[in-house]
Amino acid sequence: MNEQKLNAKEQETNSEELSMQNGVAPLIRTTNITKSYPSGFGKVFVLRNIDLEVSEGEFITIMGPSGAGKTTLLNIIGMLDEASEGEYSFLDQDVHKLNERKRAELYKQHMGFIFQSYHLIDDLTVYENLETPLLYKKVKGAERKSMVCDTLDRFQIVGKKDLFPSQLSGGQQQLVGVARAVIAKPRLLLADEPTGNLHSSQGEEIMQLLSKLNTEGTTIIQVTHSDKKASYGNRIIYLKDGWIVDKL
Amino acid sequence: MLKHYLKIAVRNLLRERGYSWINIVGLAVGMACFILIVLWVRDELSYDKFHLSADRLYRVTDYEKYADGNEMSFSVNPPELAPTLIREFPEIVDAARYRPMGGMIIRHNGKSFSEDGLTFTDASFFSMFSFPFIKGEPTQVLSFPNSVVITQRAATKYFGDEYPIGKILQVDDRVDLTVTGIIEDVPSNSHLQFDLAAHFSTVKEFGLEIEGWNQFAHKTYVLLAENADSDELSLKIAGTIQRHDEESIVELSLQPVTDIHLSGDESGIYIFSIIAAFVLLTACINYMNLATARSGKRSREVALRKVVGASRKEIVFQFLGESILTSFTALSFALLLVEMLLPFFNQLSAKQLSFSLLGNSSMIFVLLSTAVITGTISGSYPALFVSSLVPAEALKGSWQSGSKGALFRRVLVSMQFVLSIALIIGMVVISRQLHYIRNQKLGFDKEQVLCISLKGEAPRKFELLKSELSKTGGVAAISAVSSPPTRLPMSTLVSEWEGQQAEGEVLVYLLRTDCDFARTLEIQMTEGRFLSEEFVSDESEGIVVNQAAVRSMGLESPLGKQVLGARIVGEVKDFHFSSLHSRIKPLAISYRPDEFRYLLIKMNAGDISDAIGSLESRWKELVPGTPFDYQFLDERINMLYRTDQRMGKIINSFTVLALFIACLGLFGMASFTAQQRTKEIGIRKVLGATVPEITFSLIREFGKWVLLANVIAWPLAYFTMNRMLEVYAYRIRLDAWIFLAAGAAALILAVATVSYQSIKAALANPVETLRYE
Repeated sequence: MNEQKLNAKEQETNSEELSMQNGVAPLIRTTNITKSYPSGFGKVFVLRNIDLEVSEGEFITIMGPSGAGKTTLLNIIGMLDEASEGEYSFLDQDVHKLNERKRAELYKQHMGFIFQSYHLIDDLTVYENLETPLLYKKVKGAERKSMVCDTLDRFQIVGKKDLFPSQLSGGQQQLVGVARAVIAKPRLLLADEPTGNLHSSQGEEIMQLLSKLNTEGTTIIQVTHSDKKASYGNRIIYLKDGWIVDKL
Repeated sequence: MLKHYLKIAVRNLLRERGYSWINIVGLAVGMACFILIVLWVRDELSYDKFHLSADRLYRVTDYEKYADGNEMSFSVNPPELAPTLIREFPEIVDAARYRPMGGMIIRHNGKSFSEDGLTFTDASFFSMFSFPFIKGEPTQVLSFPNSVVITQRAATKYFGDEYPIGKILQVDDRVDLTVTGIIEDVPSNSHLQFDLAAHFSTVKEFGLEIEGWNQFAHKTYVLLAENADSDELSLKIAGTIQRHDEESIVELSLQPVTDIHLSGDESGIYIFSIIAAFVLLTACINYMNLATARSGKRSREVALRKVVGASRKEIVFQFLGESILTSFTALSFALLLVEMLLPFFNQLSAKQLSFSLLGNSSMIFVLLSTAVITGTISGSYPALFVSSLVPAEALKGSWQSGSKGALFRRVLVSMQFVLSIALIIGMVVISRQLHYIRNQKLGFDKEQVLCISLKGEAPRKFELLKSELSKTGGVAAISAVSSPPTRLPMSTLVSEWEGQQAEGEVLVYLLRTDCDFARTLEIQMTEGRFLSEEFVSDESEGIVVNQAAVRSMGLESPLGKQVLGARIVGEVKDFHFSSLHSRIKPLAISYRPDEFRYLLIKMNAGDISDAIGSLESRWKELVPGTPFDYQFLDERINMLYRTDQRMGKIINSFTVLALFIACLGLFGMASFTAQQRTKEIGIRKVLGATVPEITFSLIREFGKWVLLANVIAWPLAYFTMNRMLEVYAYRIRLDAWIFLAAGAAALILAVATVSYQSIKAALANPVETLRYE
């Protein structure tokens, strides 16, 4: 235990280098992750004993019926939620042991999130929505500006930069959502039914975009109900009633 | 980053205009109250601090305790005290006597003026106190008898454009004063107020002694050496008068000049400071409440910020930034409000407060820190509250702001009501007490009595004036007195009297008047008779005492007893010859025409203004050159309670403002609750609930907490009010109904505030409200 801790500490300082050297070391490793809520005198389990390894560069799809715990798992991996039990290491750091500040630090350096209902900040324009992650990453003014402009360019939404989310269509909003998620060049992109609210042609567009990002080196984990969307990925994890199962 | 926060804060303020206004208006009114009170308190605390050696200037005060248990503190001393103190105590560097004398007539160039600002003082006065000179050398100006230093105001009054130095002012046709110096007008925050300061020795021309130990008539100020220990010195000088006058029981002590203004009246400072804090706190609570309540709406934004990488600290900063921005916006409105309200406040408080920020760095500092502190207090809880949310829950929509902070918000609302109810009780108690004072039977008839001061030659002609004026129409009776029964300045220590049962002294107040006094004011006798013309001996040796004097002296049958070198001919029923702040003290009434300074004229009912007109014209024929200065006795009595009334009015105004802010907050909370319960109300209506039932259930939610607030507010107010009423010897009882009424008033106010939103929510069509579920 002690040794492991020391190890973790060492790796924390050199995590970038180490993972580069090892190359194949998993990006994510979860052991026995369980999530439960108190309910009456007992507990309701949402996730049970999830063991999972994700390597850098994978495109993973989590599938399962409603209430299987897909989103909860994604949120725990994405550090938006905490597991009730179990261990979770990201880039060889024990996330479950980190304090809130360190976790936020790790999170904002390496992760991006895309939601089914886009979740843009209503009070901010497209430009400002894209800028926000960079602000929290303390990117300097000029560099920030050029990064936002590059991204607007790349996603072909330059013309929309001064509009507020409510002035955009769903597809456009999700485009901004993806742009916001990747602007800080995250290692891991988490997508919770990114196309769930879009009609098919828009959905296709987004999926192709994700696929392209994956080939450029971004690890992606997505949650979806659709087999077609799952086919963009290279591995599928099935969840049922909180357990990982081989087949649905 | 700052720009980013600012941007989002401004957008939020604009988007939620209703709430923003409630917050800004509440905070602005709160801050305006706060600023006004700060100005007031600062002025109160600034009295006499402008003297360069303020920390070394002291006034000699006196304390006496009498055999009848009464005690008295005062601050007039015999003329011999000042030179003696300098001689006997090396720690005392300098001393000055000070004797104001009102009711003078001063002539210059054939014009005569009525003057109440004349004072007599020693040469050292202007070197001890720092009144800025325009002309003249402070150490030289009062170097010879009959020299006088005048203020700029007096210079304009008497000399207009003339050059005053060296000119003569004639006082009461008796004394000529030569102007030797001009000072700037005495600042309003000086407890010494005068327009002319004449050489001390001149005071003997007006019948006062300038040496000896018997006449207590002069205030005495001393300047201590640097490093002198005032407490130690105060003990050392205590027995000075007793050492020189064996019969005296006076104990002296030193009072810092800077304490004089507030001595015995510090309660105002505390009360107002507490109210200022109350009002501002109420406004802060509004902000906290509304911000926490609305955090549900903001939770998604906060969650998303966390999703894109915001740390908790950054969220806290953002929310604090917003509240500080709101509080600065409120501050700018508050400044406008202060600018608008200051004239009214000055009228209310009888002060000349001014408010200017230019170059006033301490005020700017106070304002900025007020805004920052207010913003921080207001924003702290919402910031900590909202930043603690877990993003996953918030995005799912299961993060219910409504239930989480609900208890806290209700506690805050109750706290506001505790403050409001306590203030209402204070308001009622104070106005009841003032009403009580105004309507208390004083023991004499104060209605339709004119009080004319006798100046110049008038005192010598009082008999002529009495007989002639009583012939004009509308006059029922006239009496000449040494002073009207509002405040008697004269008293004497009686240590021996006939029928004395034990050793000891009694302080007896002295009223000089003629035989018509009892008839004029309808004062009742309990024994014997009043002074009467039928008994010639009354003029020299008749004296009338009041019941309090008889009690204090322990006389069993007062009539015929020798007291104060006279024989008691009657006992009057106790009447209030001073304010109701103090009990009725022993009084002796005797005939001394040379001390008559006022005429009391009882008018018949009817057209009084006509009667006064004819009195005035008759007066001008009888004593030309003497102003006809009159006042109604009841007005003069009301003046005794001017400070109390002023305080009452200020407290009322701030109470109303505090209530306004509290209601504003309640209104916001009610609309939030109604909005939050839209769905619940819809379902209830579908299930058959009636509009009154729903309205009542919404009102009840707040009513419950207002009732709880009463339980806390009552004892709080009871103790505070008891303390406040202690300054009155005659006071009202704190009846239960006052507390019940205040509680009921708060409840009604709360219900009225909440009703609008509740009825609106209850009337809403359930089909509409449930459509989106």
